[in-house]
Amino acid sequence: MDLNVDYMAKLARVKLTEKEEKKFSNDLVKILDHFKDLQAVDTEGVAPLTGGHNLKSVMREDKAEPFKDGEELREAFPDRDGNYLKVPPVFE
Amino acid sequence: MDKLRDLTIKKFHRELLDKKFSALEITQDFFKYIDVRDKEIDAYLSLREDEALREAGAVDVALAAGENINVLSGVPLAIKDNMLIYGGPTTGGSKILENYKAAYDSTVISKLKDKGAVFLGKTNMDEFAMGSSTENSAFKVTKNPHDLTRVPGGSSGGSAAAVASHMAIAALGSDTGGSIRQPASFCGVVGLKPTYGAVSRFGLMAMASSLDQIGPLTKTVEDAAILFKAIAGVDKRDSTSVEREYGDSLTNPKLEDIRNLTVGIPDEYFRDGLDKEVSEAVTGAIKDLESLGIKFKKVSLSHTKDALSVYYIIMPAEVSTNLSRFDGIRYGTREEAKNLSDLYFENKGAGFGAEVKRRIILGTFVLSAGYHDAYYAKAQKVRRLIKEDFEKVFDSGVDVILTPVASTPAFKIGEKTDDPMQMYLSDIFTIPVNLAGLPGISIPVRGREGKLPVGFQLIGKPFREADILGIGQFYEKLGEQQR
Repeated sequence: MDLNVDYMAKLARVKLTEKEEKKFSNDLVKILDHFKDLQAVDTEGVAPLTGGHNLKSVMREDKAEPFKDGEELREAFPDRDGNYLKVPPVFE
Repeated sequence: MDKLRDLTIKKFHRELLDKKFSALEITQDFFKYIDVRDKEIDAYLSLREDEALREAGAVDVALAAGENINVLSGVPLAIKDNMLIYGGPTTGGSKILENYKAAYDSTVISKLKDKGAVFLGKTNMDEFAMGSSTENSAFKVTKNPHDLTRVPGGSSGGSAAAVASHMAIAALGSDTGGSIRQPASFCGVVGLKPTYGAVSRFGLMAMASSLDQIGPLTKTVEDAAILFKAIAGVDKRDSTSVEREYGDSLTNPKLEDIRNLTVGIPDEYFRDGLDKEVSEAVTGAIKDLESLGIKFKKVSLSHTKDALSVYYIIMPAEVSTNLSRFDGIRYGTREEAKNLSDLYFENKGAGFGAEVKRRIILGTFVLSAGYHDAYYAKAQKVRRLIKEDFEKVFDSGVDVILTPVASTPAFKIGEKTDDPMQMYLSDIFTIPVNLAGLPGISIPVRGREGKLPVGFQLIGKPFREADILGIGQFYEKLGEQQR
């Protein structure tokens, strides 16, 4: 099984410790091994089930509604400058 | 204490109207009791004492003014900490949200606030609902009130333990693969996972959006019906929610209707690996139900064995997408970082626990180029086959399916923490219900006083919560007659 934990962690933008990387590699081998039986299930002509139920799409008017005064959301900012959200530089 | 032990939603309402106590007094009693009892159970992550006393006081004022009050008015509830209550902490059991305060109410909370319910506090859970024992919480390990060396189940372990130890009259949990029903079984309470779409998920932290549902954990099936009815319904903020007219049959089932139901017993759920104690308990429940005049029939759900694999592909895929929002930009903790890309790595690395990271890695893998078709697409096809298994059984004249909830009673704390596969296997009987979007309920097998609780599961047709709640309510009455 070619699950490269280090590469997946990079794709998911998650930093792993060396210990985690080793443990996950072992765990995931076992988990993927369990998935093997699934390949034997005959799914010829079966459509994928993509959601929780078969209901139709729901349409509604695309209308914006004000969210209180917005300050509740700004209070949750980890870093801010007045009403602006502060983030680290995109480029160094 | 005895007073709190005996209280159900129904009884609370009657005694509140009879002026046996005020809502404020009872709420104060609950906090006094929690102060002592939760030192050993660790069910709550945070308490809302000031707010709850205010909410209870408002109910007393309404009563004194002669207003009609709802059956849920003043009822002290516990809420799993992945549902937002405006202004209060909501951690999802994760370090990454340790200091987060909810900016709005989830729809279930708005609905219950309208009815005057009182929220005592937020309950412990596996981090972002990922786990079957509540041991994956970043904050503490909740103990099973029936045996403090055992787990309460998970991921809604705090809610189940709070109700089982009488630190709340009822609670809300969420269920993605069994997270309401399995802890209900382990703690000896009732737990309902509604049909997918029956309850709005707005304001519930998303784990796997095609599987998640909010539902009640209660002392009686009747209470589960009351609480479910209060939170069900369409919500414009959750486009997967739908409106159904449930009427009176949820809370007032008729015995003649229940007797006309046929219950299917799927052979696949009673094979090897099922603990002898569980098997005997569930067989006992079937005998009891036969005495009500309910007919039983052997059925087959042939793709049951594939459900675990399907679940552990689809769920992590959705997890890896849903949890990418915890990037440290708009809310949550923020680690030191030299640039934006670095921030993502550092923030998730420091904020997420091992199980969450494991699932993100697995989900990223099954969605990645070259593996998507072999894993994710394949799992979605088998998911349809699992759903069709249920449809075929329901089309053959079966109304409800009865199975065990978990293959064992509550296991020991620490027993399965090193081996994720062992932990995952504890949900094999509950997972198919989420994959098929059906309603399922865990009901404690009666007559097990002094032993570890065991639940049996009733699975209904889509939006036929009335059937499973109805059978459950008559099962409960069997016990009353003998007492």
